[in-house]
Amino acid sequence: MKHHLLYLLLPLVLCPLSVFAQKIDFGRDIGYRSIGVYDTWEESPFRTGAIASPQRYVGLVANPDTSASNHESRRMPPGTKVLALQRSRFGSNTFGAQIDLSDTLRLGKSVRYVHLSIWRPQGETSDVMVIGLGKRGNWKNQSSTTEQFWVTSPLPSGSGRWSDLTFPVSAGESVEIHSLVVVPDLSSPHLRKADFIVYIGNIVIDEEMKNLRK
Amino acid sequence: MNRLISICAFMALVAGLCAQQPFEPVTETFCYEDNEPAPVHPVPSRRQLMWQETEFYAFFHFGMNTCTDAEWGNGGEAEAMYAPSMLPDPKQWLAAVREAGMRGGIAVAKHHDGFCLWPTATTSHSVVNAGNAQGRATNIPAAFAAAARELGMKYGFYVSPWDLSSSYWGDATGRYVDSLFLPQCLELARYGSDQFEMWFDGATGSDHPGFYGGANTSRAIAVPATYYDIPNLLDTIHKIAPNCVIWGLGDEARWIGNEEGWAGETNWAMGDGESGDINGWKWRAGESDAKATDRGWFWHEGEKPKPAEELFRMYLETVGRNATFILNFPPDISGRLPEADVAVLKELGSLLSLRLGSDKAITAHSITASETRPRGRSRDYAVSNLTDGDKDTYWATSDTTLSATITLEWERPQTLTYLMLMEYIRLGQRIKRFSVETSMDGRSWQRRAEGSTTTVGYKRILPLCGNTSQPKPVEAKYLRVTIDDARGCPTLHTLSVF
Repeated sequence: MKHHLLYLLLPLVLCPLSVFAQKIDFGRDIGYRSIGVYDTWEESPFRTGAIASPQRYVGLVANPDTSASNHESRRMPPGTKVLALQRSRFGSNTFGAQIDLSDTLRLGKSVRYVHLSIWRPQGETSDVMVIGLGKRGNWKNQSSTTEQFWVTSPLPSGSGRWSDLTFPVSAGESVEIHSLVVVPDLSSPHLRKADFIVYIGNIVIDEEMKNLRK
Repeated sequence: MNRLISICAFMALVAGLCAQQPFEPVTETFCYEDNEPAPVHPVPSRRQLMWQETEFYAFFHFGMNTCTDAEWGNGGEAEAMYAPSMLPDPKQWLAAVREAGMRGGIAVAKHHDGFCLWPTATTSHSVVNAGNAQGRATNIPAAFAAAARELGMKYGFYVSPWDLSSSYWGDATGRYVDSLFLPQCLELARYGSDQFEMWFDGATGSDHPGFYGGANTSRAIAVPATYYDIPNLLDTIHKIAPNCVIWGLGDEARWIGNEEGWAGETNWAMGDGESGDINGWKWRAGESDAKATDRGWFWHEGEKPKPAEELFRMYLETVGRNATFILNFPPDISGRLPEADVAVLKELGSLLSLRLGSDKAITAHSITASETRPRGRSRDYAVSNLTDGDKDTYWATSDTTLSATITLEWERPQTLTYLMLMEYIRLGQRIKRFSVETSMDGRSWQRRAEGSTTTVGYKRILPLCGNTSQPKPVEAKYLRVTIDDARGCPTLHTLSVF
């Protein structure tokens, strides 16, 4: 009898009582409320209204690259439906896709890790950044799109294929994150003659710092 | 039942519409007004641009350490030890530095020792409990702000995030930030919405022992930006003082990397250190902090000011190299700048006026450029914009032209010592490399300041001999500036020759 009790209790002891994880799945419409574009540049035509319909620069599409080599042995496949962003040459170097979370992300004192897959055309190899938008939870009159963190990927991102990136993020203890902005191109676009499309796959936020790159 | 089905169907339709946002690439184009060049990112924010235009300003370290002859206190000093011999006189400080051409000042309101130089509601470790009447009457932020406005100067405050007096500093709770540091910053911000800079020193504990409310130990914090909740602190301050650049830990401007009064000849407004980084993603122009006296940041008996010539050289190597320059003059125990400092400031002002006050570019017989950008409806990019005294007009080339030449000719040979260039940084810092030549006949040219001519940025002052310590003049009837390489089409709003 005692042994049976031990076998019953052992898994509870060995397994963590709770593991933090938050997932955004574009295919199943899980984890996000809405999508849009964002630019930190205060004179951006996407902020001033000079570009009348900024929402047209982002949307959901079928995964454009489902080749097997891009999906084997991936911890987090991009998904069948992904977020498409038209990287506008009229935005700044911090222009990106804004994803409004359906569940508030509370970082506390811990470092969390934002894992995502990104697909960029061949030759587009500049750094990628994630920006957190949020507020202090106990401040009633503060905008929930106050910029809280700006993190570039510690590793370079490839192009012409899906690449997995991990971003360590942290903020003050009382901070709530309501949106993530994925900036696909941290270089200045002033010499570009054309925009290009990037694709962002499913996103997971958890406590694992494990590098997802093959 | 039918009604329930209708409600469910409606909700599904709404959910579907929200989730499914069809995507088609956008083919619209966007034209910059007046044929202006596209910005080369990153660019400064409005407040960063205003801040950089301050250029040269003073630092005033006055407080508990003045009375205890210390540089870093330990936080356990009795309030009564703050006892200046007279009521501090910030108007005397600012009037003196204005003679040197400084446009403003930053006054210490709280240093690492934690003693507050204003009657704060957050702690009794303040002037309220000072050791004499003039100590108790001290309110540095109030007096400093009032004096600056009266003299037409900019002002701001230094407030140390690190606080050796507080039992809360460095503990695992948020009590220090929520009950002390943030309220103190807010109190200081409320002394004036027109503040131009708040200085957040980066020194943070480690092996310097402190009082810490009686703990008498050493403390450190791991990640200052997170510990002090910098993003939300900035958001709060900017709601009160929208043009206040938060230096240091606030990351709206960077430390130039030394306290000797110099920036790199190559100095990008992005990145770190003396030279910055052309690939930096964020605009973080450098500020160079240095002491004008030969002892510490605070006043000490027997100290002397550095010679005016040395301070002039530091000016050339900071303001003249795309950095701002904050030069420290510590008031003494009487709460005034010593007479020797006041005299050096006058002398420095004379040197600046004499050497950089008479612009010979505006008397040039002609100024021509190898190319000029086509004008827009209400703006042109003519080379004459370089000498019109208006920082909002500028010369530029066409988008695909990354190198160009500007030539000045005088009717008679001139004695020339310095060349000054200023990029139109609202559209980003662009020039990577340039060269300067002079000539007596327009045919045979001599290269000047070789090896020194890389970046320009907000302002570049170049001694034509290439030496900031002993600039020697040259005789020339022609001066030619060649922009050899740039990140985008070059833009300059001012070209001056002294």
